[in-house]
Amino acid sequence: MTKKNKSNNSEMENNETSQTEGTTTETTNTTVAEETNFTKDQGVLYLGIDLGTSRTSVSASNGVRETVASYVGYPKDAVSRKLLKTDILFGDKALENRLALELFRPLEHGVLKCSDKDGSYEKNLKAAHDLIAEIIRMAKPRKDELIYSVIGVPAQVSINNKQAILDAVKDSVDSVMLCSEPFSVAYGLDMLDDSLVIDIGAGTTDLCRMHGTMPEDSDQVTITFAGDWIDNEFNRLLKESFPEANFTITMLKDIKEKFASVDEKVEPVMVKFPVNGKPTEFDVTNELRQACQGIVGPICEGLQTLVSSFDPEFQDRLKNRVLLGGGGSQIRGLDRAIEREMTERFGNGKVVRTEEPMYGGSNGALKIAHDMPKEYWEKLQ
Amino acid sequence: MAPQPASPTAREEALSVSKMLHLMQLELDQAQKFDYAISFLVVGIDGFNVPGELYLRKLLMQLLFKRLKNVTFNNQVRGLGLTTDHFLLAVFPHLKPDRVEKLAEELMAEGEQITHPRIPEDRAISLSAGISHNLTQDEVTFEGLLVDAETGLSVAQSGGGGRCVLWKEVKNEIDQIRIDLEKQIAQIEAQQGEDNEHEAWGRDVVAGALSLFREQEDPSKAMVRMQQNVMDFLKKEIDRWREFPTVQSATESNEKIDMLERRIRKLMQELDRSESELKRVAAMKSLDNGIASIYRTVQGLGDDDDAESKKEMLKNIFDANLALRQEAEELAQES
Repeated sequence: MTKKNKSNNSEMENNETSQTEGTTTETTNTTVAEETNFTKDQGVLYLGIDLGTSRTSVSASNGVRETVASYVGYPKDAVSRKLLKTDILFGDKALENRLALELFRPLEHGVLKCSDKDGSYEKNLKAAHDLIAEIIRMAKPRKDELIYSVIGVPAQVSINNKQAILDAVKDSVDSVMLCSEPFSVAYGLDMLDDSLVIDIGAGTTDLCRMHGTMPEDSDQVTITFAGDWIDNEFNRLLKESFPEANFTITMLKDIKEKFASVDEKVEPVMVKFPVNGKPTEFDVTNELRQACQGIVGPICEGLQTLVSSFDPEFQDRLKNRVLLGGGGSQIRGLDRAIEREMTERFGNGKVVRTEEPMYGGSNGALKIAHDMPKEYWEKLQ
Repeated sequence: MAPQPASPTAREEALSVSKMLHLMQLELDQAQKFDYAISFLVVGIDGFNVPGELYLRKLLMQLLFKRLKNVTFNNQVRGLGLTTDHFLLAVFPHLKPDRVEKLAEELMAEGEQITHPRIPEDRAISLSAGISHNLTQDEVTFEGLLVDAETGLSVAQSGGGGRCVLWKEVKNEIDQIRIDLEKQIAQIEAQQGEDNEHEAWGRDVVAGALSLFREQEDPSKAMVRMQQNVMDFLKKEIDRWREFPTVQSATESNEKIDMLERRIRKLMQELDRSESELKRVAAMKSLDNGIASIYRTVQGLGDDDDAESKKEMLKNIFDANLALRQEAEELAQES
């Protein structure tokens, strides 16, 4: 990994830009840095990164923890560039200004959207590159420290997608490793033995069986019944119930993140949608609940696959150590609903929610990075 | 002293000035003790100050004293009186100053009618008077009342003569006028501070006048009035001068220049602020050091209970990543 030279080159680009604004000191400093062969010997920064479809999170060994929505936007033209006063926007700011931006969601379905090899390949790769650079920048790394990063990826991502992720991150860190997302969640919570991890994201729900060794392919199940599926199902149900209402997926996502629940007894979810331009109130409680309940069955089917193929002597122990994480774990009552379904299917079940759904994956990745031996990092530089 | 005919008696001539003053002091003490009014009247002859006329003044004083006796007799008032070479002093117990002022005016009117063979006929005689009294909040002493009355006399004489001055009242009035004048002077000075270069002459004239006024210690009301009139005149002249077209256009040009200079200063300040902000942002780009990690060196696994199982897992992760790199290199070489 020759990040050092590449980072100096990127500094040179920035300095050329700044020089047109009238400053010259940065160019002088960078030139001096190259000549003296700048080295990183002042510490090691570990980064644990969770690349999610909906959100990307980072946990760092300098105490920084940040999360950003996985959107990247570039101004459509010179007018919008002047209006926004920037060449790139991330996260919620990109969503707010999406009408003036070419908006990308480079991690759809949990993998980089760059396998189609058409005109959007380069753009998606660049968006992924920029998103990863941004999340690393948000971790506030020092220039004189080594950056060792572990990135959690969906369990069954293809080799092409893994390589694409490595390509996207290699310029920003000194050494990087990929690992399974659900595994990193379990590692972070020290639940490495006889436990089941359910990581509900936006693009995929990953289920991973932990039994004291590195999970194999047969220990991991990935399904697409996740946050985005709930949004689409919610959209479909609303259109059936209220065909006159106007709404977008983005609006429904906001409603879901505020009121999502699978419980029967909840406060009514009253929202306003325009009808012919006039804001009108709708009761969407049933539709939202039905959409959220739609993932319970597929999740339990995935659990059944993993439990039934496990050593029968330890199946009960496995069923009683189910860890629910990811952004989807915040759906109210989902843990109890999965327990009820497991009881119906398997006779029993115990589900525990992680305390920090946003940072569960990145915290676990950070812990892996911390525990990784020195020689492994050096061989992968 | 009981009302007496004009002709002097032997008894009066025997009383010396000092004894008369002593009697006057006793009257004042009584008045203070029993809290009733007592007024002092000092009358002087205007002019007759040159050495060749001093003897005439002494003569007139004597004649004036007789007239005073007539006036007090005619008005049935009682008092004590004495003459000196310079003035006539009368003390009137139980008499308020306004009553004494009427007596003084009557005396002054009679005094103007005095004739004597040694006094030239074309020489007008004018009298001035000063009055003081104990009807004030201030501490009252004989000497103080005498000085006040004498001050009143001198103010009356310096104001042209032929007038009677109640000194305390006039002093208060003069103080107020002086305060007003000071305010006016301060306003003019402030206004002068804003004038431009072309009005320097006006400023110099006013400053010169002000310095002259300040040197003037004469506290008379007439002098204060004169000072006020001069300031008003100067102010009017300056305003009239400002109305001249040439000066007005120069003034307008100067105002425009001032405004332009202010705008230039403001723009320069904005430019400086923008430049420093640019420098700050540019500096931030290269000087944002970030937050240091808590680790100085690579850590690795500790001595946990499950360290062995974790070590095996971590090796598996490493092996998988190494294999991934090798596959990627092979694919890159093939392509």
